This record gives sequence, C-alpha cells and structure tokens, in this order.
Amino acid sequence: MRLLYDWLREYVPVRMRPEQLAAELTLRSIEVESVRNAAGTIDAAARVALVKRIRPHPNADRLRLATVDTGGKPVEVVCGAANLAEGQKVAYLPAGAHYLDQDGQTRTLRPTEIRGVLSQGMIASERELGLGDGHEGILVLSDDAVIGRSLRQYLGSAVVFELAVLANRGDCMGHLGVAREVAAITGVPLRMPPATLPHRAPGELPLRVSVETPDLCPRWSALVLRNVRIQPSPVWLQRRLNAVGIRPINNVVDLTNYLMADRGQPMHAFDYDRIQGQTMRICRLTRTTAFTTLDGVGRTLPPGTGVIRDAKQVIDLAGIMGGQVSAVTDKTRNVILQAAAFDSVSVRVTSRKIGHRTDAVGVYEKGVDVAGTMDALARAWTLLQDIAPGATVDRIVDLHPRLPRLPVIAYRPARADALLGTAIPLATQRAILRRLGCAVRGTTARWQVTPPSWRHDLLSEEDCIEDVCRINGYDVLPATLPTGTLGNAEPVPELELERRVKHLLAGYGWSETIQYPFTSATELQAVGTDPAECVRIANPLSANQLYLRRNLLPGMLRTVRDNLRYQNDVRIFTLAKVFRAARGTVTEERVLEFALSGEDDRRSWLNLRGVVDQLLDDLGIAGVTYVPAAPKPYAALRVDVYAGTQRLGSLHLVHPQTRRAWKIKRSVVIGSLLHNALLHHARPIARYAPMPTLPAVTRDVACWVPTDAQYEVLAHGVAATVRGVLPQVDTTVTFLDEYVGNGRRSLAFRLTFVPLRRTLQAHDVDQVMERVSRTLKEQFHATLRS
Amino acid sequence: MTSFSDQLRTLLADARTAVASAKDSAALRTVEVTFLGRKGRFATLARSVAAASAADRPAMGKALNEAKRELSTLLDDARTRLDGGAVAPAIDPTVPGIRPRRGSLHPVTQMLERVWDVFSGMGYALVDGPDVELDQYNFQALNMPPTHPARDMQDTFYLDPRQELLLRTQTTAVTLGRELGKRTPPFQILSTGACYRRDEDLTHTPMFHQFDGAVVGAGVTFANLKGTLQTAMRRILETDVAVRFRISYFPFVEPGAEFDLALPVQPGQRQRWLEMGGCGMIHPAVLRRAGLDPDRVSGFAFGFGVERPFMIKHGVPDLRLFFENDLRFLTQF
Repeated sequence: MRLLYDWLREYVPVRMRPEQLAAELTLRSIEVESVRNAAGTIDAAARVALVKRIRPHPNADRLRLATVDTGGKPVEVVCGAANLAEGQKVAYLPAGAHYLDQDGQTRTLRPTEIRGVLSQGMIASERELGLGDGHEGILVLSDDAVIGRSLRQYLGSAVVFELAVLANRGDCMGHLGVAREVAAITGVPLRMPPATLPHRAPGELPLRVSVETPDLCPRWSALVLRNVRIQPSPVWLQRRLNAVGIRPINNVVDLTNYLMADRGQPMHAFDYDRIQGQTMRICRLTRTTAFTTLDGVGRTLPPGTGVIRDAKQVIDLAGIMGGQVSAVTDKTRNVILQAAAFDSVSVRVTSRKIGHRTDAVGVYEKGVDVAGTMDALARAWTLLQDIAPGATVDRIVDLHPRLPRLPVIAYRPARADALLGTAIPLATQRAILRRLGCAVRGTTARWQVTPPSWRHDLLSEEDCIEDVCRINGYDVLPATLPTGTLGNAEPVPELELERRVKHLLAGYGWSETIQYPFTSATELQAVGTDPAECVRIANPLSANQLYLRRNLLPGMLRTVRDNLRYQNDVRIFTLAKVFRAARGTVTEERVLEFALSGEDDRRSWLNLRGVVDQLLDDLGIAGVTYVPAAPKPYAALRVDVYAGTQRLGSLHLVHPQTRRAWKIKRSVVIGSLLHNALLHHARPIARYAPMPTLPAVTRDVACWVPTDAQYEVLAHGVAATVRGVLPQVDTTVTFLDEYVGNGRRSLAFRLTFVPLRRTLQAHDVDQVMERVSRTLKEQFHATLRS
Repeated sequence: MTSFSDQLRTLLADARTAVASAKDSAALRTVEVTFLGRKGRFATLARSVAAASAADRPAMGKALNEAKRELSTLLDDARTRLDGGAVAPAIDPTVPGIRPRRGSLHPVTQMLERVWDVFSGMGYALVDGPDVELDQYNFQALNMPPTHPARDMQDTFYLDPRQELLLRTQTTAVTLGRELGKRTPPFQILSTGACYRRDEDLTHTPMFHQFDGAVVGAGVTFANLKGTLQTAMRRILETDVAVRFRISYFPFVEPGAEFDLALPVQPGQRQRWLEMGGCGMIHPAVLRRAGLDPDRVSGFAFGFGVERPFMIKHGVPDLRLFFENDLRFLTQF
C-alpha cells in the first residue's frame, strides 16, 4: 500500500523526517519497503507537456508519433505506450536529460531515430522518472498541470511510503489506520477531519435492500445521492490519488477510491437509475452465472459466489468489483454510494476461484472495520459537498445483521513480563494499550482490555502482549540465553550417516549436487518408469515439473549433460529423497546416487565400481557381492549390489539410447544405493584387527583367459584350490590388473599367504602354486603368462 | 676347500666388475638379482657349503657371508653415487605439485552442517520429517485453517485434488506441526531440510532449504529468543553482524517478529537490512493443540532460510546458482 506523507500528517501532525518515521514504523508497526520523494530524482529539464496530436508510425504498428506542446515549439516524439491519448498532460524529457532504464541505471537521453523517424525527446513513464515501478504506460498528469512548467515543481514534495501491511492488519490499509499507529508510537494525538451526515434524508428515491446472507455481509451501509454532477475531481484530489498510484477518473469514482486509501474501507458507486426494480439483494448465487464486471470483462461466476442482484440480474461482484450494467457514467444523476463490510474469507475465496484480484480484495481479505462504514460515508458526504456541488443525500441505508461483539480480554501485566523476559512498568503497558484505542479496566494484577472495533486481530492476551512489546520496542528487550536443562539431544542415525557418506565421497573427489525433485512424463518414460506410479503435482509450475521423481536418474543425467558443456570429467553425487504413490498417500525414501562421465565405458565403470567398493568398505559394510542383473531399457549393463542377502542398490551403464534422450555423447555410469539399506549394514566404527607377526609371502599370477571369463568366478576357484592346503596359513586372492587388447584378455592377481604359527618356507608355497596353475588351466582354460 | 675359495674369489671379482659397470639403478637391481637373488650365484655357491664336511662348514660360511656383505656395501655405495648425481637436475622445484583430486559438498550441505553444529553446541536435538506433508501439520496445526490469508504468502504445491497432501512449505511443519505434541518439555529441537513453494523468479526457487527451531519449557522468554538467535547467527556466519528484531505476523507465534541482518555498509551508503527469517513466542493455541498448558510452559520458535546466510557469508549474488549444479560454482566452496 502507498502512503502519502502529507496525507498522513493531516491525521497526525508529526514533526519527524519521513525516513525517521519510516524506520520507527518498520520496527514497531508496518514494514516500510521504500520511501521516495516523487520529485527527488527527476531531471530538472523535465517539463509538463500536452499531447496535441497522435498519428500512427509509418513503419511500426506498435509505435505512434505524438506531437507535444512543451511550452515552446511543438516537438514530435515516438511513443510505444498504449495509454497515450490526445489531450493528455504528460511528463516530457528533452534530449540531454537523465532517465532510469529498466535495470534502474541512469542514462542520458539522446535524439534517436526509431524505425526511420527521429525522436527528439521522450514521454516518460513512472519508472523512467524514478517515481515507481509503473512502466505499463506513460505517466499521465492531472489536467491542472501547467504546460511548460518544471515537472519537479509540479510534483512538489510528494513523499510516498511503500508499505507491506501484515496479513492480519486490515486496519492499516488506509491512511487513518497508519495514523493511529503513528499516534500510538509517537504519542502525538490523532486529529480527525470533519465528517458529518445530514440529520434528515427525504427518502424520495425508493430502494429496497436486503442482506440474505449475513455471513457474507455483516454490514451494508450506503447513501443514496441525488443530483450528482459527474465531472473531473478537483486538483488536490487528483494529485493525491496519483501520488498513491490510482488513476483519477471522475469525481464520484475518485471519491470511492480516495476513501479506500483514506479509511481502508472499499466503496462502490452504483448508478441508481440503472438498478432494476429499485431492489438490491445481497446473496449467494445458486447456479453458475455469467457476469460482466465494469472493466468490460465477461466472467463466469460459480454457485456460491457472493453477489448483489437487482430485480433482474447480478449487478455487483460483492467486495471484488462492480458490474458494467450498474456502473456510473457521464450521464449518471443519482448515485448509490456503498460502504459495505464483506466477509474476508468469502471475498478471498471467490477472488481466487474466479481468478480476479482487485485493490478492494486486498483490503477486504485482511478485514475491514465493521463499525466504521457509517463514519466513512460521513467523511465521503463531507467531501462530496465540495467536489459535486448541488448533490443531496436522499436516503441513508445501514443494515447490520451481524455486528461482531468486541471481546473482553483478561490481561495480566505480570504475564507480559514473564513471557517477554523483562519488566515493563504497569503505567507504560496501560498507556500503550490506551494509545492503541483499547479500553483498559481493572486492578493491578488483572486487567480487562477491550480492543477497538478496527483491531479484529486482538483476540487474546498474547495479542495484547505483542502490541505492548512492539510499541515499547523489540530493540529495548534484553537478549539472554535460556537457562536450565532443556532435554537430551539424541542423534538421528539417518542424518549422521548422511553426513558421513557425503564427507567420504567429497574426500574421494566427487562433488555433491542438489536437484529439484520435479520431473516430466517424458523423462520418466525415458528411464522406463510408468508415470502412473508416480506422484503427480496438482498445480505444477510447468509441464516439465508435473511429477515428483521416482528415482534420481533423470535429474542426474540433466546435471551431467549441463556440466559436460564445460568439462570432460564429471563425478557427481546426490543424497536425496525419491517419492512413490502408495494407496492415496506418498512414501519417500533417501537414495544416494552417483553419476560419472568418462572417456570410455570400461574406465567409467571401473571408476564407479571403485568408489562404491571404497565407500562400502569405509562404512564397514561386510559381505558385499555384485550380482549381474538383466539389462533395463535405460541400462546397457546392470549389476546389483548386495550386503549378504539384502540389496543395497545397483550400478548401471547408461544405455546409449537413453544418453541420446538427454543429448549426452560421452559414456555415463550411474550408481544408486538405498540410504536405509546402507544404514542397516553400516558398521562405521572400525574394529581393531591384529597385524600378522610373521612375514607374509606373496605370489603374483598373470594369465591369459577367455574374453568372457569373470574375474570373481576365477578368484573364487583359485581360493577354493588353495584353501586348507597349508595348515595354519591364511590365504587371500586380490585383483591386480586386467589387460584387454587384440582380442585377448589377461588377468593378474596376487595370492597372499599369511602364516599364523611359523615362518613359511618358499618351497611350501611353490607347491601350492603348482595346484593353482593346474586349476587355472583345467578349470578356467587359462594359460600362465611367463 | 681350495676350489670353494677360488670360486668365491672369482664370484666376488665378477660382482665388483658388474657393480662398477652398472650405469643406473635398474642395472644395479639386475646385478643384485644375479648375485644375491633367491636363485642367484651366491645361493648356488651356498649349496656347496651345505655339502661340505662339518669341520669345513663354519669357515666356508663365514667367508661366504663376508663376501655377501661386501657386495651389499658395494651395491649401497653405487646406489648412493648414482642417486646423488641424478636428484638435483631431474626436478624443477618451481613446477606445481600433483594435487589430490578435490570433491565438494553442496553449499546447502555446508551451511546445514554449520547450522547443525552451532545448534548442537547449544544443546538442540535434530529432528527429521517428511518432504511430503499433510495439510494438518504444515498449516492447520500452525493456526492456518484452509481459508487463512497467510497461506497466500506460501503458495503451495498440492499433490491431490482435495489438497490434503502437499510439499511442505516450511520446516515448521516438523518442529511445531509434528514434534510439539510428541515431546515432554523441556526440550529444544531443530529441524532442517528442503521446502517448496510455487514461486520462481530472481529471488525465489521452487525448492529451497530451511532450518527451524523450537524451545519449550517453563519460563522460556522472548528475551531468550533474542539472545539465542543473536548468538547463533553470529556463530553461523562467523562474523560479528548487527541484527534487529521487528514486528511481523506469523499465525503460529505471538508475539511474532522478523529477524533482520545488517549488510556490511560501504562508506556513504545507507544501512541495508536483509530479512533472514521469522520467529516469535509459540502461539498459545498451538501449544494447547499439542496438549501443552500455556500457563505452565512457554516456548519460542524460529524459521530461517539456509541459502541466504550462505549467500551473505560467501558473497553469492544469485539464489538460482544453488540449483543449477554448475560444477564451476559448486567446487568454489
């Protein structure tokens, strides 16, 4: 919400610098997002100008040529703004003047040829002048602006605050509400401007109003006005509206907008004579109905929508926007000026359902002051006598089927001190509550606090404590650490392991990545997952993000592809959740996924396998086996990893076809391990094993093997051959090397003999090696390399 | 005996010649294997010692061992000679060394671990919760019924048409939504993890990370909240930053506050504050719903982003970098 400092000072004449007040408000009441002086950043050369004539640009459909009067010789400029119209007063920047570009950078304007037409200067938007974010069109000045006058002079000292009003503070959606806060903070008393209604209303224009759904509309107040002449608003009013970002239209519409900005009370003006049967019924629709709002947009209203109907049709979308059918026009003579309190939830829900948000919705959804509708109308009538001379009040309507009862809150000042951890004097607490408009009664220990009608957010003792605390200042509260025992901090095993695993992998030279959990049907199908088994997002940001991932493969392939643009060697991992649809609910599981892209499949595979071997070893997982598994559509080679009988995960060589789907040219291998399975088997606390006391004897063996021989089978065979041959000796077989080339393959491995009792003699080992070579030859058709 | 000593003399002479003519350490290794190896010439000669008479054996053994020792010494000397000459010219000491391959932890992980460590140090228990959450825990338990306007601040991804299942928008779902009712005060807990909001622009990504804390016990105060966050944030950022608390609104805390951090100011610049997160005293209705009596226990809660403190600490300008997974970014930290 925009707040004009001078407008605020009408209610509370503070003598603070605007920046200082903004800082106070931000800490104690409402965040002030920005303070700007509308005139401050504008180039001194900027002038008020009149758009005299517009003609199309000869070479561009979207551009027009405007002849503008800047007080001297008329100039022609090229303009792309859709809201440009003849007769407008606008802000003109001549060549050489400074303006802000779309990145907020200051630039110097130069005469430029745009599509073959020379543009001398430019007609500026709000943003180009540094006045705000408005860039949808040019800034239109009010009609009283004097042509040729300096724009700075015209705008004067218009200091505007941009406020971010909290969701529960509907009372702060207008200048009056903010003024109440300022009064409470500064102690400067509030000063209410005159606001009176006539004592008598003749009631010559009949009108029957009924509120059929009190839950939708707790209060409906209105003035029926006669002989209203529709004309432009006076200059002061137009300027104020402009300053807070509202476009002036005519006196009646401007008045409704003015009061919304002034009181935080949305208003609407109906043309009395366009209402059929002099009847207004506030009700909810029972069936789907078409309706054209006053912006000319046809809308479909679902059943349950809160509306106002006349004898014939819907005339108003309650609390959101009026209808075209009953809107005020130049011909309007009699006006119904409505100040209604519509229910915040109803307005909000309807607004979302039909996808239409207006300023009024922004105010109603935070809640208006139900007790304040007649005050707002009184203020409107007081102003109206100046801006529409000759108008009279014919009828005053005030229906309040459901006025909210003001709560009486039991308040203990000592409780405030205990909760805050400080001592705020009783007198201070009482004074703050009173300055905020609360009635405070009661003894020293227990007070009865009745909040003012506009503070519907004050419902409990804590709410009042917050108000005392914030006005007193969060900054003056002490900062202390809690004392006493606060329970036991048990570690979470999943997270402990997560941390350990990530650090191990980073230590091996791999980089952690984090992907969004979203995926698409195409990606899922490309890795052989049926989208029907996946969790679908009801309101995705895009079709690419329609599903939650069922596995981490697609995201990893995306990351591999993106990084291959800059480097050849990609080794990444992630430890993240995957999601699965399960009987109306969703199960989630942590998975550790590795991806590696390398020169060729074999090297990539060995690197992946090596890191998995090392990781499982470092986690103390025993009995690990790798079992070849049937290939999948996305995996040319697949191996399952087991610890004992439990599957820990799999390693995959990504199928070239799948790689192509992700536009990856290089070899990619992927490993995935289930975090819970790792957790189950991990024994990360290494046990001491005694070092052998006697020297070990090793023998290296290299042999030619058939190309399809499997090392693990061979190693098992060798181990079985030597087992138990030498008593009191431990024998292990470890892999050394592999060579593949010229259609031949060789394997090298090492036998290590560790004697437990006595030093091993070379000839004992030589005997065993004879057996080994025999086994290799006979069982595995291998020939020893010399 | 004579033939043995002749043989030994010849052998030693051959060995001396071989050592002298060896040009590099590989050649020396060959000499060593030829003479002293398991099947080398000394081993062969040793067999004749075994065959000699018991009277001759000690003298023969002694002579053999002396010869072997001499050869070993010669080999060592030769190695020293060869190495000593080769070391200096072969290494250019100005060439950078071979570094180990360096992996990296994601910036989010690094910041989360820092957060864990700081709060563990303050005695907080870490709690874990699901990413797919029930509306009940994410919103309703936190005083946000289905039509509450504060829900608009957290545009939500829903997973079912009835909007009961969603991607959590805040880790408060774990601390105040799930854990509050399960634990007996006093306790202090910390929940961290991914959160999701339907929002994507310069400063918002649909996924981001949070850490959320709650402390409940008798006599826990707003002043405690201030002290805790001031202390924690300074430890997390490892620098003495200025912080402030200002009024804000979150339906599940009362009083509620926003926690801001002062960005380092350059001379001539205005002070700029950055929103870090929300906090406040746990709302009595939230306590009551969890079976706790607001007159006996009180508590505070806070919820902060993880990416933003990292951005401040390391000077990262753009949130989106965190999830583009460019290794050139990830390996910087």
